[in-house]
Amino acid sequence: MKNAHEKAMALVDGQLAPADVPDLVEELARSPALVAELQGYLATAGRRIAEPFEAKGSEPPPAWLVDAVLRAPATGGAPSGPIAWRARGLLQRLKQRYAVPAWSLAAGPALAAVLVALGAWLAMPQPGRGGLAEEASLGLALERTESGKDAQVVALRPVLSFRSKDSTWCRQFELRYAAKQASHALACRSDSGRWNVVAATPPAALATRPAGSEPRKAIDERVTAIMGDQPLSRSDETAMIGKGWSRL
Amino acid sequence: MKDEIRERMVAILPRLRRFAYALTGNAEQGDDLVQDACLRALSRIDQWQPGTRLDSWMYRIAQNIWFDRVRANRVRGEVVDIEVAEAIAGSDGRVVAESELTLQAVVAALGRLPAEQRAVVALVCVEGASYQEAADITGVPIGTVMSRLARARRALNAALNQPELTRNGKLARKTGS
Repeated sequence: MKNAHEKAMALVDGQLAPADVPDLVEELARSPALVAELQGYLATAGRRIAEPFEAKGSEPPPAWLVDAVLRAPATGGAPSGPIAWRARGLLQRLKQRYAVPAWSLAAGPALAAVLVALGAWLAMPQPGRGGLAEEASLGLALERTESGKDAQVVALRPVLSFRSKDSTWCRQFELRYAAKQASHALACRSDSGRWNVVAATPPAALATRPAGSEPRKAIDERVTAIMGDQPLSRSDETAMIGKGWSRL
Repeated sequence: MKDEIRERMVAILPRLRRFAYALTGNAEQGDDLVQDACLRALSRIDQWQPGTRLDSWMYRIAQNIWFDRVRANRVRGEVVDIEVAEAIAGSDGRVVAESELTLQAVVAALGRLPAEQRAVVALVCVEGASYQEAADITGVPIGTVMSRLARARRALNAALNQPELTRNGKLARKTGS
């Protein structure tokens, strides 16, 4: 330590070498100003600053974060993580790479949120592709979303998995939003591993989403129309996820 | 990449989240920062040298990402975190309650520090890093770490000992009767 000021702070932080302690004590005895300075350091030492954050350091990290660390590509591939994060990341990449067309839109901001989520989902890690074509669909979101504001999508929940009549895998899913709204959608997987959205509904209040009600009814009917086999059981679905939805 | 490194990253996550929370002053933004840091670390894992501390490397990555965001926010305009704003103003319009004062006041006071000072406080005061470790992570000399820390402490001390604030950011006025 160069001087008494640094030594005083190091003492508070427990980083003062024992050999420097006698010198600091002598300095403190001579200098009331240094004592006052030391008191100031003490006021911001120890638990007072650290305590508000201690809980964060002792709680287990959320599963999605652990999953991102365990599964994310290690060579700069497509990111993985929660939908909201992926949507933000996609928007940033889209802004950097595309001159977004000025589409003529009749849809409202809520639909923009749907497209953000769908685009994010479509861009889920797929070996060998960057999901850029799908990202173009996010242009709609960029048309409607102000800078600094996030899409309100908070979760994607698959509800049904099945094989279609043309032997492609399809999944019906629900997008939930922070504003207690939900959309319903259906996507099918191409041979290249790309999930293409077949149908999607605009967001509606959760209270109106039960099976058989509008707008879910439209998706249910579409599912019925293209379903080839019975929906996958939970164990079969888990197995398919584990195999990366490769054909049987 | 060896799964062992990913497992080590997972083990670091709690501390990294705490660090990121201290940096951003916002739990959600903190987790976003942690995830971004992890993804960047994974994408550049070949740059990490086995035998060196993985946690310090990840702290540095998180800090650099956050610095970039702070700079970007400066360009776009000031961004006020909801949690910080509420910490300053009081979430329900009342004067900040004494029981909430420590947490909210510390978060708010940290939020007013320059980014470089906040990073040093987060490393030394929250994470318990040594001055040398903080210097290694921030990439500045140890003397700079100490001077930033001293300035930050003076500012924090002043902020934490000022009168309580109302929702409008004005000093609470004793009405008396």
